[in-house]
Amino acid sequence: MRPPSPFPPASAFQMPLRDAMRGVATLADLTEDVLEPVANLLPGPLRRPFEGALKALDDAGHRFISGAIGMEEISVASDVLMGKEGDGTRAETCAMVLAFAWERVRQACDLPHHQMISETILAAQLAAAPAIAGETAAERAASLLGSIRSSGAIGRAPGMTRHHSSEEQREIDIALVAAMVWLLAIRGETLEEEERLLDLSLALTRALQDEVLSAVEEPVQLARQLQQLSAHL
Amino acid sequence: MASQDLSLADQPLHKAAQRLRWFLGAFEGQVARTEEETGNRYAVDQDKLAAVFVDWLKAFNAQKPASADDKVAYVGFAAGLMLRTLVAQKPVAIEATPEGADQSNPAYFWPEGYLYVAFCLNVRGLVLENEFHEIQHPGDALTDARTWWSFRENVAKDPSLAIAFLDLFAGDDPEWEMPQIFRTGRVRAIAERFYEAKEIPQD
Repeated sequence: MRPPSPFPPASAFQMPLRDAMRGVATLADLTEDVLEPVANLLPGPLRRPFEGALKALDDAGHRFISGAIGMEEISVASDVLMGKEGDGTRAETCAMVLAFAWERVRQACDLPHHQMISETILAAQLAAAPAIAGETAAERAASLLGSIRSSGAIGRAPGMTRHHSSEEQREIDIALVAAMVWLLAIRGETLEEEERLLDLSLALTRALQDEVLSAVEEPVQLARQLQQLSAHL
Repeated sequence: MASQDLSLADQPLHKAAQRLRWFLGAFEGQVARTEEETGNRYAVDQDKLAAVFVDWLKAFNAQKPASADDKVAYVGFAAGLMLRTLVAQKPVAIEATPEGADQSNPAYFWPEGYLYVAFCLNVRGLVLENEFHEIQHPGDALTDARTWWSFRENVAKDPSLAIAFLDLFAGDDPEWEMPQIFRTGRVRAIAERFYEAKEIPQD
């Protein structure tokens, strides 16, 4: 019998690494915003390398933010909400897909740079049985959404602070509902179509945001809203 | 205003048409076809179009009849609701028309309205044909400049009149009195005793 390896498998580092790179990308975005007025004062020969360095940092962060999302991963995440059985990596895959959805929706909503998501916390939430309870897929999605809201997986420092202003919470809720509606809907045939469906899900959620936001803290009502929205996506 | 293939999904058309993805795909197809047919160029606001879909869906569900006997009539009414929402929310703007275009032609007299009517009539005709084996026979009003002038003037004041105008364009009997209320077969029969057929509003 081989002794256990003192080092965890490389795959174990991928989620925390992506979380770290989200921080890097956010830092680069923030730095660029803060230093932009200063950069404009620099002479051209100095300004260009300065901007180049910031851009390299930004690109590096964004490049690693999203894991390898494909149709298979989206299908697994959808299956988790449907309550289908799967292997032990389902929670991680679902967390990766939700993080992908968050990043896309966050950008579409023009949410501030500092609203980051932690895939690691999400995966831990998904692996915990009470985080995703319910008979139907919509009930399970509502249950998961409630768990994510209270987990601190999203914020300026995920896992550290759970406070959001009412406006921030409102935007976070819309983004989370859009992601759940997308995963509950009939699947697209290509990754491009899936991305388009996610955008449409956000548009649909926004168009019904008053109804959605009034239901977000009531699991039964929220499940009904998620069911109806996904049926019309 | 040629018809086109709008079917995108495996499910029944009337169900598919209640999905945003189908609606946007079908509308995009209509824009492309109308641009090709007329030489017009349109700009579409996707967010407004999503809002149109949601408003239409709410109106559609609010009056959905329980009786199977009313389903065919409701297809026409639902298409009218869509036209009402489109003319009210204006998700499309005309960017260019061909130089020297004949302004008495509805496609150039009111390019956006023409696009909306084409879309609603095509969806209406497609659902009637695919699911109820009924063929739509658009009336002469569809190409009548005077009717279009009246259509544009009246829906600007009261978008609900778009429901009646779509019936007129589709070759059906319009309900000018409270067109926004769907009348089941029984209620329609009673109403006919009280209301005389009205002329098309001309102001």
